[in-house]
Amino acid sequence: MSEAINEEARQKQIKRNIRLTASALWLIVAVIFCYMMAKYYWMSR
Amino acid sequence: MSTATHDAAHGHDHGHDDHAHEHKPYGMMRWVGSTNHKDIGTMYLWFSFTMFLVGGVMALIIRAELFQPGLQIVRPEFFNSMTTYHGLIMVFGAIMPAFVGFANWLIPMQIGAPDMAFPRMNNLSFWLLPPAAMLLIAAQFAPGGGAGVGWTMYAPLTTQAGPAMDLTIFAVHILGMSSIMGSINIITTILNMRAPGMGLMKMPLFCWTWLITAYLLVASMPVLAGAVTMTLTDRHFGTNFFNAAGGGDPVLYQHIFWFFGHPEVYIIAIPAFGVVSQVIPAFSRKPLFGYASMVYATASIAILSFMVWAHHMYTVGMPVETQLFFMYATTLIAIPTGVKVFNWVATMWKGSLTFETPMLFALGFLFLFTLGGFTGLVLSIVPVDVQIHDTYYVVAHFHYVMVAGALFSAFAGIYFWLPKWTGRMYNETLGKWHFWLSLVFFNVTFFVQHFLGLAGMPRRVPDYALQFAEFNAISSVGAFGFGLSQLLFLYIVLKCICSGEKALDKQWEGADSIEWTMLPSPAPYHSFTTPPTIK
Repeated sequence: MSEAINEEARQKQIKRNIRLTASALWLIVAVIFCYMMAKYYWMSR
Repeated sequence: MSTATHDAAHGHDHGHDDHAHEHKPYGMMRWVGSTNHKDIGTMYLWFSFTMFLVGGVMALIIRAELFQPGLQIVRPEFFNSMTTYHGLIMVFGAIMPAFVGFANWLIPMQIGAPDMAFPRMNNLSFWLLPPAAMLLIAAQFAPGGGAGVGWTMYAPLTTQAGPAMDLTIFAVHILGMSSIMGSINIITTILNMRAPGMGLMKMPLFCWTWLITAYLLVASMPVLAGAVTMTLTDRHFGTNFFNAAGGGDPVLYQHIFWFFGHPEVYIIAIPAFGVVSQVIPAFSRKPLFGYASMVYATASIAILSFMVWAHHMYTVGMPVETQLFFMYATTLIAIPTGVKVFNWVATMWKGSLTFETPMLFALGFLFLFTLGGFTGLVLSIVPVDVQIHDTYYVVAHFHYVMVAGALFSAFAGIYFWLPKWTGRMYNETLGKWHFWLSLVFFNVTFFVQHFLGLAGMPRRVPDYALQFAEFNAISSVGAFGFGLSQLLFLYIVLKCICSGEKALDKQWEGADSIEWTMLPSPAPYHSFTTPPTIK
C-alpha cells in the first residue's frame, strides 16, 4: 500500500518537474525574443 | 555507459508485457493525430527524406546550369532563387528534421521512458513542418518568382525583395516554432523522464548530444525569429531596423543572423556526433573511449558556438581587434572538436573492427568531417578569409561539414537502427554500394570546389569566367552521380521494410544501449510503459 502511495507521489513530482522545466524554457525563449525586439527597436529609433 | 539489468533474452519478457498495449490506431488518423514518439519519428524521417529530394533537385538545377560557362538552362533570377531555397530546404527541411526524427525514435527508448514528455506538442511540432515546406515551395510561384536573397536572407536585399520574401519569412517563423517546441520537449523528457538508475552520465551519448543541441535551439531560434520579424516589419510596418536611410544598419542584420547561424551549424553537427558516437563503439566492440570528455567537449563546442558568429562577416568592415577576437575564439573550437575526433579514433584502437554499412558511413563521416573542419580553420584566419570570403572554397567547406558530416552520419544512423525500427535487415551489399557511390561522387562534386574557390570563383553566380570551366564540369558530373546514388538508398530502405530478412533483437553484437539490450526488434508500439531499472 505504502509503495503505491510512494509511486503516486513520485509520478506527481515528475509531472510537477516537467511543468517547471517546460515553463522555464518557454520563459527563456520569450525573454530572448522580447529583449532583441525591444533593444533593436530602441536602437533604430 | 549504462549496464542494463535485463539482457536481450529478458527483453522478450518485457516485450511480451508491452503486447498488452500493442493496439495502435489505423488509417490516416494514426498519423495525423499521432502522439506516439515512434510514429512521429517515422514521419519526421520521411518528411526529411522528401525534402532532401526536393532540395536535391534544386541542387541539380544549380549544377546543370554551372556545367558550362554562359547561361544555358535557367534565368539568373531563378538561379538565385534555387541557391536560396536549396539552402533553406536542406538546412530546415532535410537535415534538422532528420535528426529530430532520430531524437523522437531513440531518446525515449534510450533513457527508458514510455514516450516524450509532451506527446501532443510533439504532434504539433511535426505538423507545423509540412505547411512551412509548402510555403517555401509556393514562394517559387509568387509574383516575381522566388526570393533570390540567399539562405542567409541578408538585408537590404530582403527588405526590397518581392512577395516571395513574405512567404519565406512566415515559413521560417513556423519552422522556428516547430524547432523550439521540439527542443523544449526533448530537454524536458531527458531531464525528467529517465528510468530509475539512468543517471545523466550513464545516458547514451546520443541523448547527451541532443540535450545540448536542444539548449542551443532554445537560445538561438528566438534570435532568428527576431531577425526575420524585424525584416518583416521593415518591409511592411515602417520600421528601420536594417535601413540606413532611416537610421538603421544592414550590418546589424548580419550580426543577429549569425548569432543564430553559427549555433545552427552545431545544431546540425552535434546530433551527428551523437550518432557516430553510438555507431563506432558498436562496430569496434569496445565502449566509447573518454565518455565524460565527450560530454564536456560537446558542451564546450556548444558554448563556444555563441562566441564566434562574426567569423562569417570579417569583410563587413570591423575593427581589427574584433576580427582578432573572433579569429582566436573560432580556432579555439578546434580543441574540443579535436578531443572528439581523438576519442573516436581511440575507440577503434585495438578494437575488433568490422565494416558493415553503418560503420562505413561513420568512418566516411570521421574522415571527411575532419577535412571540412580543417578547411573551417583555414577560413577562420582573417587574412585568408578576406581573400576567399564568398568563394567556392566556402561552398566546399560547408558541404564537407553538412553533407559528409551531417548527412553521412544520418545515413550511418538509419542503417544502424533500421533493424530496430522495422524488425527487418537491409541488404548489406546494396548498403555498401550506396556508401561507396556516395563517397566517390561526393568528393568528385565538392573536392574540386576548393580549387575553384582558391582560384577566385564567387559563390551564388549562374555564370563564370572560362578558366573555371573544367572543374565546374567535373563538379556537375559528381553532383548528378551523388543524386542518383540516393535513389539507391530509397530502394534499399523500401526493400528492407517490405521484404528484408528478420532482424535480431540485438542485431549488432557490440551495441550496448538499452533499446538493443532490453527491447525486441521491431521495437513495440509502446515501450517501457513500466520503467526498467538500470544498474
